[in-house]
Amino acid sequence: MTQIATASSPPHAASTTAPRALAFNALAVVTAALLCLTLYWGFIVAPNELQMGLVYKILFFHAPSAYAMYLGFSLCVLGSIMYLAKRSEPWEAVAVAGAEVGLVFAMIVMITGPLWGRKAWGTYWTWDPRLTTTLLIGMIYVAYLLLRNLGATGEAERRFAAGLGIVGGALMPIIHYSVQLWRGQHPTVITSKGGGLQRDMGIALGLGFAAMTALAALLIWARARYERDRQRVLMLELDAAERGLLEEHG
Amino acid sequence: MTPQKRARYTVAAGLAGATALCTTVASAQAPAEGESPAESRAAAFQAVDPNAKKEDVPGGPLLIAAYGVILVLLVAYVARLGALYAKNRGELERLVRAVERGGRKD
Repeated sequence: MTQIATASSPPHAASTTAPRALAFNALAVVTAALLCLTLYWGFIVAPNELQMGLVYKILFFHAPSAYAMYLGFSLCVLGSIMYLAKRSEPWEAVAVAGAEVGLVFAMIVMITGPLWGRKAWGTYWTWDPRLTTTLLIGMIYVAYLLLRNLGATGEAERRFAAGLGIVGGALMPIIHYSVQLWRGQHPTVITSKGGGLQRDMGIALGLGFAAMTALAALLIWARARYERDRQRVLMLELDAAERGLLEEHG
Repeated sequence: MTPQKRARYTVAAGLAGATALCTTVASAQAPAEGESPAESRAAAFQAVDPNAKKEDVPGGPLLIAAYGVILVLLVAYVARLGALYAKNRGELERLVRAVERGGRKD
């Protein structure tokens, strides 16, 4: 029983659990503070925009959500590569966590963007290169998660999912550079010459980037931790079943 | 008509069509007769028609909807994580009970 009860946190983890929990909680506090500061600076300090009025303030979370999406999907790519190279379950947990959290932020981007577009362009959607490629990457990672969650847990399925995770990641530079490569309607706010934002708007956007990055890191950490615990429980279940400990007793 | 003649006529028709297309495109872009390049690029400034119907989309509801969506998605995901952790805990407790039963039987 002792072996089972402590198996979700392996013996060596006793010395690392407390500092890790402390670091996790610290990150959660920092994230909450940054989110509150972003909301304050964005709504109270930053002025309205000349042409768009209030609605441009969607930008303070829309653009940072896109970068949080890149972070999640990049971790999925990294985790998938490491899983294929080393068959490492911790890296697989990172890959799954990255994909899921990346998809949440992709949904935020794909919903808040059209709401801004309704005001700025007069339409919710256009087949702009950036919008289209973002939609495509979202669909690829939906397929990845469906494969991981609904497919069998065999080695072949996991490797196929890892390959899909890597392929989806190849779209990220295309999304990012689509505005420069092809003509479209999506604006470029931050350029190599700086940005087209007034000072307080720029501060609010910077705080938004910090807040969403911290939030993405926190969610990925939590999701990966759950995935590792789930993998361990599964191993224990198999071990117990092999020993005949899970048989029904009259 | 021999195949060779048919082929020659087909190539000739294709060339004629391509020439016509290029001429049309070039003439569409070329300045009109007697018009200088500067005049051909001149912008036209047109007055706003005061009677024209203008679409005015209020930004406030869109902003509230956007932030509402962000909040709902994030809260839903955190709730999902909580449910997953609870499920895992339940699985672990079930395993502990099964192992205890197995140990008592032995």
